[in-house]
Order: sequence, then structure tokens, then C-alpha cells
Amino acid sequence: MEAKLEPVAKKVKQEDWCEDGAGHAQSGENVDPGQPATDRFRATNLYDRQIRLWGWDAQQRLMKSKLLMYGLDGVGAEVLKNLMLGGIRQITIMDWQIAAESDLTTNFFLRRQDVGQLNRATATAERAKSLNITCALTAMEAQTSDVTVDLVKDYDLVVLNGVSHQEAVRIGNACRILGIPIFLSQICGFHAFFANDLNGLKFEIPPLKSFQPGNTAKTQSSRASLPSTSSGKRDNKELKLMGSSQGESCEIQELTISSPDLSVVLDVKAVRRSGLASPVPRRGYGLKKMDPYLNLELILTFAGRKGRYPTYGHSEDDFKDLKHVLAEIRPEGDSRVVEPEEMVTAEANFTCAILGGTLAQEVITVLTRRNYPIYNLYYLAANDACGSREYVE
Amino acid sequence: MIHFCVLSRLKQRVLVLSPGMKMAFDPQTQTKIDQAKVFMVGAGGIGCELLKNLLLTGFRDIHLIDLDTIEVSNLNRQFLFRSEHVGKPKAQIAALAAEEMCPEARITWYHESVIQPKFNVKFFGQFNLVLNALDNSAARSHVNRMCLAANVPLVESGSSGYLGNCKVIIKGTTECFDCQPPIGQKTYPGCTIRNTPSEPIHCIVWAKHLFNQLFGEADPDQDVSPDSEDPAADPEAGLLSNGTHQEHWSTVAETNETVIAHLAVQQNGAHQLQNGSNGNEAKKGTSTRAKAVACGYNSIDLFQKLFHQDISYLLSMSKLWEKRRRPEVLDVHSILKQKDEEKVWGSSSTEEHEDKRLWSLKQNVIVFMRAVKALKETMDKIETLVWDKDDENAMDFVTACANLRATCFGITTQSRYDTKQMAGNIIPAVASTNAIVAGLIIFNAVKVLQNRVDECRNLILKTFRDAVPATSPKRRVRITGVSKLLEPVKDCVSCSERVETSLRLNLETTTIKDFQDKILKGYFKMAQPDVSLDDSSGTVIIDSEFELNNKDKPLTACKILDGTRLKCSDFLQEYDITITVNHADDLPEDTLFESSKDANVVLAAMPSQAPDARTTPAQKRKSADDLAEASAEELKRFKRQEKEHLGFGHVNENGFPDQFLEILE
Repeated sequence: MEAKLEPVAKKVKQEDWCEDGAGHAQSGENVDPGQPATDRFRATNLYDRQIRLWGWDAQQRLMKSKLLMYGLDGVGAEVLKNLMLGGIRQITIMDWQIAAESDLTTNFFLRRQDVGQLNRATATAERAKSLNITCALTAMEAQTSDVTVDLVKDYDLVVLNGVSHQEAVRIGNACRILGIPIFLSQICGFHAFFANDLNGLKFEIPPLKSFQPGNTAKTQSSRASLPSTSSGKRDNKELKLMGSSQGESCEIQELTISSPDLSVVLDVKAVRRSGLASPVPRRGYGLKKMDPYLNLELILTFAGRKGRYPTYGHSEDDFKDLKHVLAEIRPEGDSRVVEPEEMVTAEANFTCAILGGTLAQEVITVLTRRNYPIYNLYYLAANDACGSREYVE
Repeated sequence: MIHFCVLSRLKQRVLVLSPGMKMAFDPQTQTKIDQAKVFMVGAGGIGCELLKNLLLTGFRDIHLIDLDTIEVSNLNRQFLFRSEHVGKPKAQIAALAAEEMCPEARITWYHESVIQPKFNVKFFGQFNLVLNALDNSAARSHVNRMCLAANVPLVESGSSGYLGNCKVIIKGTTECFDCQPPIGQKTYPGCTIRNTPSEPIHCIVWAKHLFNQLFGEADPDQDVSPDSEDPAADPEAGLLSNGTHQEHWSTVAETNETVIAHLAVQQNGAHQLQNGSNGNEAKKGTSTRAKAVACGYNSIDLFQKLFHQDISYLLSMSKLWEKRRRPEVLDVHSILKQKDEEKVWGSSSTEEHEDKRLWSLKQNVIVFMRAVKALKETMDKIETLVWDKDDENAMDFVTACANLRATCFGITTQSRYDTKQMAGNIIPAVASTNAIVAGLIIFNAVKVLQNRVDECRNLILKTFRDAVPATSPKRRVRITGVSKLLEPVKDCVSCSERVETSLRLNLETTTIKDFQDKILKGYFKMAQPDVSLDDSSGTVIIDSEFELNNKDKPLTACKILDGTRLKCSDFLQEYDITITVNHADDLPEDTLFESSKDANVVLAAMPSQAPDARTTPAQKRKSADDLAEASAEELKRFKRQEKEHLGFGHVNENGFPDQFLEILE
């Protein structure tokens, strides 16, 4: 049977599961206890499958959170989608670029008719808003220099996608002073990473495995420090028990993050030091010993010299330069796998999906202050499907 | 009716590589991608993300199939769907969205089950690649077998909560879906459910069975009334008929001791009654339904039958309670007379999740009565109800019944929220995990098209939060566990060349129907089995196209004796196997058969539609050296989850999401 099909409706319809566009955010107050809270009831149905993952408290925190995101590349589109579906209260997206042909293979919100016509943020917002009408989504056509302290201070979290090294550090510093968590993502071909600054944030985390029931003596020690992440140095994160009525097996612990700011994470020397202190573990035969630190050091050194990250647009020149840089920075006798040729390919959509999915999940972890967050670096070599959490200090 | 549609069939196929268009892969690969014809099975959580990824990667000829319709609880992750699409076929809406996203793509969609004669080996053979984005192991196993028969590479994937996995199945080269023994979902012996529940899940299983007995299609395996044949019970005790001594019980049931004392006195009389009504009825599993019909589904009478008389009857089986806590009977009238507790309906703090409150005993009774009334009204309209976790009344009924039974047995009661998770076997799901898994699928899919099978990987998505305690103080934590694909297992029932196997089972009690549903379909994953004797007579035992009149006969009645060889084949799957059956009467209780080769056992009590519901002694396989940081343990846990999607199962017991849930909730 041939069915006649209508194009997908793009109009924003008032959802039948939520009467008021932004109503759920206020549902905590002044609700007559005798009346069923309809919004809440609907939210519990709509978000049921994820509430079962991170809990209703966390879901409510997410539904009160405000996010500022600059850069609507493939990663930006993925992050936007995942957070809007999750039920975040408000997102402001910013971009300066006009949609280009090359965006069509990564930002799935853009269409051919947008190319050369519309700002990436504006065009993205137009199609993204129907994902979840309870999310207040606004687009701003702005440059990174417009991301000022005054703008940032109204948000709970900032995400930067594909901005320059200098601007990332500047905005990172502003956020650090304000105590606002910031994520920064960058894609270079099949290589991609995100860094973050979660300094000072407190997280409710599940008890560590080694502290679990049967091991109550350890559970009770009020100041157990996490095993060090640095070579020899005592770690500055500490765990303390929070009061819990759930009984010993469900003790929720509090983790306070202490980590360097973005300028350190993006600093070539710091990356090199961290890389040398964390040699790649021996892997079995047949799989590459891809090293995140040396690859990152290569990318950052390149960016430091050129003032931009390696791109597909200049692939031949950039590849030559990357090889030069690599010859300079690679220590003698070093056998770690570095893949400059994979840093100058076009961005693959699946790289964006994996990085954007991980980043969005971490944004949710940070906004809800629940669970153990990834800090301060996640590195992805997509063509080897290797994604790992790293730490630069 | 066939739901089938071809979008833009006539659109020209040109590889659009306009200047500035940047493709991630080399032109050769990109051409292969453009010309590839792929079959996507499932358009749900992973499916939506995958469809988007396929289009953006450059795939242009995509067939997709999904038998589901869109539900509200899908909208938090299945981003191609909007609330106005609720109730519509997923495949159709996904195809429309794909068409809008990429007009030059040709999408063919099917709103139906993939397990069908029309999707035969020839159908599968037309694709370069099949991509699984499924949520149940029955379909996974079937697609696996179809791809093996058609020799088409299959990319298999799954997700649960924060965890995900993706691997490639290529006949003769890599492990297939059935190579790893399924780590079956937990099933519960009938007598635990009917007589001696000790955990909330036992009560929930009982309540679901009760629903089917009262309102749905009664399954004899799902009897809910006390089982007088419980081997743990005293064969002489507890043979009092349910209805007979009603008034008597309601007066003396105050203490269990009194009940037992009275029982002892009445035993002789009761014994005869057992031979009459109750014994047979209990066996046939009709007593509960009959009782309900007799009282016109009067909720008070039903309550008394379920939570007073049946419990009294159980109490009379005194042997059961020698080492167990005795259950207590409930009296509906005295409960209803109780004052409302302080927590009245809807008085929860505004921050609290509606469904997470525990109901008081009285509230459970009220919900029970209301649900019975509502369900009866529905049943009057449509005759047979099918239990659905998203049906308010059905869910209320199961929650209340499970809680009332739990109260009888001194088991902690559960909130509606938790009951729903256990009864509906709900797997937590979130957009981000599916997005990552769909990205990993593209990774493997492209490698397959590039003919670089050695670069395909078995990928496991882990969580940092999960991995960190075990791996610190190490700094590096792999979020994607990467390992090489394993080689096929020699004796795999699906992908090995082996055509012979043998089973031990009780030929005198196993019926042809059990053999067909639980062994051939359940264990051997056949879709439409044909069976004949492997001798000169060639007598047909099971015909997939013609229902023979032997379904309820034991195997021995069909000339199947110790050592008989059975030729079993599946025309759709192009699959043949010869099974030698050996008689065994020493199998453990609730075990239907043993596969002599790997000592697999299958529970007789498992639901016939859940092929993976068998308890397999964890077959210890040496994990590959290059399993990176994805420990074998993790892999095992994942497989458990991956295969755990059908029918009943206690999510918190499958070793998977509970570690997060118990902490978060």
C-alpha cells in the first residue's frame, strides 16, 4: 500500500502533557496539596525512563537549570538535543557564523536552504524548539567577545564549542571567578576532546565500591581521601559523609572538586607533564596504543602557533605543519600512537554524536550535582572508538 | 494489512558531493556508503539516533522496521517524535522525519514485526548491512539467525541506562548473538509464587498472574491459587476447600494457632473436599476465575477469597511454615473501618514524586476495589484484557494486589513507581547514551563497508562514575571499552555447522506444545519449527503451517521415545538441526530439559514467549587479552542486561541498574 505522507509538522504545538510552557519550573511552590499537580504528573510520565536513572530530585534540578552555549557545530547540535530532551529549563545558544554547506553533515538541525542564508544559532533554534516546548530556547547572533561576565552570571553552566584558545581561556577565567562550571569542546577530524572547570563544586556521589557494606569501618572514617590522581602527591579532593537516613548501605557521600582552570588544561606544558606521568597502559595485540596526551599536545602546540586548530579546510598545509610539530615535541624513543592524518579529515557525524552525547551527559551530571563527574578532560579518538577520561594538572 | 511505503522511489541517485561539502571518509568509502543498502531493525531509542547518523554520514538507501507505536515515555529520548505523534507508528514517523531532514534519501518503512515469512532470507540478502537497534532478545536472536543464513553482516547494539554496547556479527568470522549463553532473567518457581513468597517481586509476579487469571487469557502456568502439590507441603495437610468454611475462618482466623488447631480437627472432612472441587480446580487454574465470575467480580468477595481464604488455606499446609514466617490473613471489613492515616491522598510534599509514596493498607484496599471495578467494566467491553504497565487501572491493580499479598506475608510493600519498574521490566533510558551508542554503530558499520573487519570492535560504553572506584588511583579511565571481536563459539546452536545435539527431558510429561514453544522456539530460537521423526516413517510431529491435533499430548504418545532422533527445521530461517531426545525423570524441580552438551537447563515455569528465560550456569569464557579495561565481569553484566528485556524480571536483580538506583532513590 502506498500511503500519502505529509511532511513532518514543524509548528510548535501546545503539548498535551504540559499546559504551560515554563510552568513546571515553579511547580515546587504554592501547590495546593489536595489537588493533583498536573504538570508534575505529566513530567513524571514524560521523563519516567530517565528519572529511573538519576532520580526525581536530580530531574527537578535539571528542570530549573539555565544553560549558555556558544558554537552550533555538530557537537553543539548534539548537546542541544540531548539537554532539551532531558527537560532543561532554559538554553541560550549563540553563534556568529552563517550556516555553511559543511555544517550539513554534522549539525542535523540545519537544512540546505539555510546555507549561506541564516546564522547557525538562529536556524538551529528554529528547528530545535519543537523538541521540548517546556524549554525556553533563545538564539543570539553574537561573537565570542560578547560572552561577558554580565551575560554569563545569569546561567548555571556554560558550554563553548569550537572557540579559539584565547577566548576559551578568557571566558574560563570569568566563569571560575563566578563559580560557574564551564565545558569546552573541540573537534579536529576524528580527534576530539572536551575539557571542563568544575572547581569548587560539590557532588553527591554513590559510595565507592571499596567502601561498600561489609567495609563499614572505612565508610565511617569521615575523611577518606580519594586515591591520588597525581604521581605521589596527595590529592586535594576529599570525601566526607553526609547525613543519611537511608542506612549504611546507601550512604551518599559528598565530593568537592578541586581542579586547575582551563588555561592549565589547555596548556601544552601541563599536558606534556601529565602525559609523561601517565604512560599508556600496555594494550593487547591488534589494538592501537593511542595516546590522548601526545595527540592533545600536538593539537595544542599547533593551535598555539597558528592561532587556530587544525581543520579540513587547510588539510594539506595543516598536515605538514602537524608533522613538523610532532617531530619537535615527541620525546626520543617514544612509541605512542599519534595520528596527525586523522586530525585534518572532515568532521564525522559519529564523532560529534559520541562527544556530544558524553558532554551532554556530563552537563546533566554537573547541573544536578549528582554522581561522579568526568573532570577535567575527556579525549576521543573516534576512528579507534577510544574515549577516555584524562586528568591534566 | 501491510504497512509498507516507499518514499521518493523515483528520486535520482546521484552522489552529491558539491564543493565545500565535507565528507569524513575518503571518496572510495563515501561512494560505498552512498550505494549501500541498509536495513535498520528498530526505530526506538537507538534507532532514532541511528537514522540521523546514517543520513548525515551519507547513507541514502535505508529500510527501517518497527512494530511499535509512539508513547509519551519515549519522548525524552526519541527525538524524531513529538507529542502529537503519540499513538502513531514509530517507523512511519521516523521515515517522515528522515525525509524532511534529507530529501535525497530513500526510506522504506515497515510497521510490523520482523519475525515474519515475508522477511525471509532472500529479503535479508538484498542488504549490504543490517543494523539492530532492538530492545528484546527474541527479535535479536531471529535477526541474528536470518543474517547468518543470508550471510549479511549485522551490527548489533543495545543500551541500558548509562551503559551501552555495539559489536559486529559476521558469519564464520565473529561470534554471533547466540554464541554467548544468554544469562537468563530470573524466573521463580511456581510454588514460591503461589505458596511461599519471600520477596516483593514474588508478590508482583503473583499479582500479574492474577491479573491474567481474572481479566486476561488464563495461562495454566500462571496459577495463583495455593498449590497443594507443593513438595514442601505436608501432603495430608491443607486440603480444605476455599469457599466452604468461609464464616468459620473469618471468626477464628485471629491467630494462626487457632486456625491450625481447627484444621487438625477438620482434616478428615476436608480431605474429601479436596478430591472434589478445590484440588482439580487448582490444578486447572480455573478456580480463581470461576470464583470471580460467580461473585460477579464483587471486589469485597474477591478480596476475601484472595487474602483471606487462600491465605487460610496456605496456613493449613503446616509443613510450609515450619521454618518460615506464617502469613496472616487480611479482613477487608476491619481494614476499611480503620481510620485514615495521617498521610491522606495527595498530601505528599510538593517535591515528592507522586508514585513514590507508599500506600497504607487501607489505601491498597481502596485502590484494589476501584481497580477491580474499572477493569471489570473494561472487560465487559473488550472481553480479554492484556496487562500493560502503562494502563492506569492495570498498574493500580498489580500494585495493590502485590502490596496486599506482601502484607499477608510480612514482606515490605512497594510504591507504585517501584512496582511498575519490576512488573513492567522497565529499563532506564536516556538520550545521551543512545546518541553515543548510535555513534559507535556508525563506527562499526563503516568499517564493515570498508571491508576492514579486523578493525571492527566490540565496544562497551561504560560510565566514569561506575569505573572510577575500581580503577583509581589510575588516572585514565576508558569510557568506551574497546576489544577485538571474539571468534565464533564452536558449538553455538546458531552459527556453527553442527546439526546434531541431544537433550535430556521427561518424555512422559513434556507435551508437544512445551517442546515446540519452550525448547524449539525458546531455546533453539526457531520462528516456525517443523519436526518429523528421523526414521523411515518420517512421521510429522509438528507442522508449522498446519496445526496437528497432538499439542497437548506428551512426547511418548507421539512415538517419541528414549533415543528418538527428531529432524527439526525452520523454513524461514533456513535452519536445520537434528535433536536426539533422551528420557530423564531425575531432572530438578521446574527444570524442563538439560542440554547434554553444555548442561544448560531450562525452567519449565518460564513464560513461553521469553526464550532467554533459562538459568545457565555461568559459562566461564576466557576474556580476550585485549579487553582493554572492559573487564570480563562488566561484559558479563552487560550481556545479562542486553539479553534481559522480555517478560518478567526484577530489574534490580539483574545486576545492572540497581547500583545506581538504590543510591539515587
